[in-house]
Amino acid sequence: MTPERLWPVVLVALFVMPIHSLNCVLLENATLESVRLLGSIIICSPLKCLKEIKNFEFPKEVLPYIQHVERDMKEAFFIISSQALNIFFSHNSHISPVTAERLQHIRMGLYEQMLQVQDCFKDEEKESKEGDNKPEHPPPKHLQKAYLELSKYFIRIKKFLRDKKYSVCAWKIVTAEIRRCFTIFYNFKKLLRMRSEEEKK
Amino acid sequence: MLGLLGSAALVLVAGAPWVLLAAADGEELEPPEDVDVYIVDDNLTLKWSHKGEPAGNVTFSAEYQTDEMENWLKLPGCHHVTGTECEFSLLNTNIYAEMKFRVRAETGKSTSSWAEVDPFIPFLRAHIGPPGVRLEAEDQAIVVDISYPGRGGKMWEGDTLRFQYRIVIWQRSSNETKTITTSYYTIKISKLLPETTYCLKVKAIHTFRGKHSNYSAVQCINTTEASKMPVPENIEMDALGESYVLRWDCAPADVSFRAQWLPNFYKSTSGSSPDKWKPIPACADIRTMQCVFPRNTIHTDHFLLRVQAFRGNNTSFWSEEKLINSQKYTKIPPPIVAVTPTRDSLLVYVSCQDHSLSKCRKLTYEVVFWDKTSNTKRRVVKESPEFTIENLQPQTVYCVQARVLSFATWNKSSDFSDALCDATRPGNSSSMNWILTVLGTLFFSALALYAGKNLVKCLNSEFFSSPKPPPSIDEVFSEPPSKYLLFLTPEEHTERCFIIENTGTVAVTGGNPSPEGEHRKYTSQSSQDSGNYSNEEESTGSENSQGLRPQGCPEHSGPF
Repeated sequence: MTPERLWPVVLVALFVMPIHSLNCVLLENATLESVRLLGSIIICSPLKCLKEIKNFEFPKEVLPYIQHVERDMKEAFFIISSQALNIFFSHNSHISPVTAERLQHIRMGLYEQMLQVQDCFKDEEKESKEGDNKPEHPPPKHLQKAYLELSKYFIRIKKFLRDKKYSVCAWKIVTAEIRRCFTIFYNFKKLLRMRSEEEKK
Repeated sequence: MLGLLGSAALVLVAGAPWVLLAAADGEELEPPEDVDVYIVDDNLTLKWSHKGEPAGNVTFSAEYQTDEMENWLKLPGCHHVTGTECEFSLLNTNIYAEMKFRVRAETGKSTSSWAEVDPFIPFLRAHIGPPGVRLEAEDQAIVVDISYPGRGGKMWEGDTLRFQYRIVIWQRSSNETKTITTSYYTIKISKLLPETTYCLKVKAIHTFRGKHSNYSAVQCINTTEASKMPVPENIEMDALGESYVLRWDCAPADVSFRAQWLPNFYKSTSGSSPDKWKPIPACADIRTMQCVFPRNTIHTDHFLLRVQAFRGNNTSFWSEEKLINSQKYTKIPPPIVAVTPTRDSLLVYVSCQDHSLSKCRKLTYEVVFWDKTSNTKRRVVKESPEFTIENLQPQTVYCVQARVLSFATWNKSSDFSDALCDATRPGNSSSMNWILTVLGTLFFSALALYAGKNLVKCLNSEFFSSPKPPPSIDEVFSEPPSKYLLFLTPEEHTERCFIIENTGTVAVTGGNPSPEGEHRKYTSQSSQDSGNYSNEEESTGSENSQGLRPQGCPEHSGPF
């Protein structure tokens, strides 16, 4: 199946219930926890927020760049977690204490996820002793593309927040979008894993 | 000729260079060469070279274009520059999208062709500048406050969590260095000597791009004289039920203590101010060197703790910051066991009870099983929660228990789950018996049916008259008895024919008595002829679909 043809399957996979996996369980739990946390702030969105909803143009072309179900996905989750956390670290002085508290929980959760992805990396690679003479290793091209596209996406989100002056509605919309992003990748990972298992058979 | 001399004289008088002459003569100006863009953080430098022309006579202008733009735009700060490079900061463009630059030489109204740089993505080409470093001295520690490379700029704004920092510190009087790698933006280097000069430098490493910056300029700082109020040391934490117990050491007995906590993530954000530390209410003012506070005071898995001693307005420096991973103190619940028996094996699935963020990570599972009648336990340990216990006896009750053995990096285990007992399914022999029984039954049934049928047939033939074949078959296939051939009687040759003229009308006619002589001529030979006629009649009859004429009853329309 060509990568281009995967996208419709991904859309279908979004409605498929996740299957418990043995590989890197902690990361999947963390991802689901992030989705849950992000969901906690979206509840009871006022109707006025509907008018402000924006299409952030999730870069679906990123998905074909994810070639290796474990290694690339971890990197993708790390990119998303760090970029999302970066957004949640934004200025937010005009929001209510309740929203501020929820945002704080989201920050903690996303940070935990980031740490867990790092743990996953450490599982695979020996912890680098990192001498000063260690050669620099640029990432593979396909991951560079994924990184660039996701960075553009998160810049659009960040700009929206800035333009909307970090209003409560803007936070809710942004949170929903980031939650969607996590869900897409979570389900895409499941899809890739199912595909790789089928190929093994 | 005069014109040419005039032009030459004019040039000589004006002292204009040959380039100008060339331009005036309509020759093309040489375009710039070796055009390149060098990027460090948000600062870009466009460089090129140009052949031959003395400085000052030729100027250069640059333009840029991104893949989101249709037209080229003038590059601010790079218009009519006299040198062979120009500097500019990142424009209001997308650093993750491709950019193109071009430069040309200009003199008077002449311009060279454009020299273009191959398109590139600024983010991927950018070098990382050294991070910003700010030092603060205590008596036995130095607080290093790091800011990400190009702080405030666009290039690394979204990558603050992708940097690691390598700090190299040494005593000025010594060559011995110590290296610390951290992803924190504020780090306290403890256990230093008071009133001593320490120097350090820091470099940044982008963990995705795998690129290192240069080291920052070396900075040196003196630690202060030893404080009269000693700093609490040896911070330790333990769990007691639903509470945490924080302990430390401190020399003087007549001081009070306060403790604070900070979510770990603040350390990984650039510019996080020290006021993010939160007091622990139960440890805000205590006289002992330990305090107990409820676990729910802290809402995150990874956090830092610090303690300060104080007496009146005199305060000590804060203690070293103790990183706590609460997983270490979290009790693992016993797992849930599900068993699916087969004939000679049990499929066991062990699942952790709590799938929340902090629990059930990196688990090893232990399953214990035994024959219910023997109580001899066997043990299996796996990193996977799925077990297949094989080589069991069919139709035997086995019991299974499981527990979680390790937890993250801590050597801990849960209690065993409750025993779950289930019987294995019946064995192969039993099922084979079933199959054989069914097959045997079917075979004997078929045999009995066949025998019964034959018996009935036999009895019928013995005790009841055999069925007569149809008259037409009898007539065609059976030889007429010889007596009939010899003594044919008119009655015997009289046949009853049925002619159906119309539907619903069946006429029964008596055969006309044939003359005796003719009857005598009726032989098997004539019977064959009759068959031929019959065929003809069939074809005739077929024309009249409404009529039915029994075969063997031909209408003798021939000469007979």
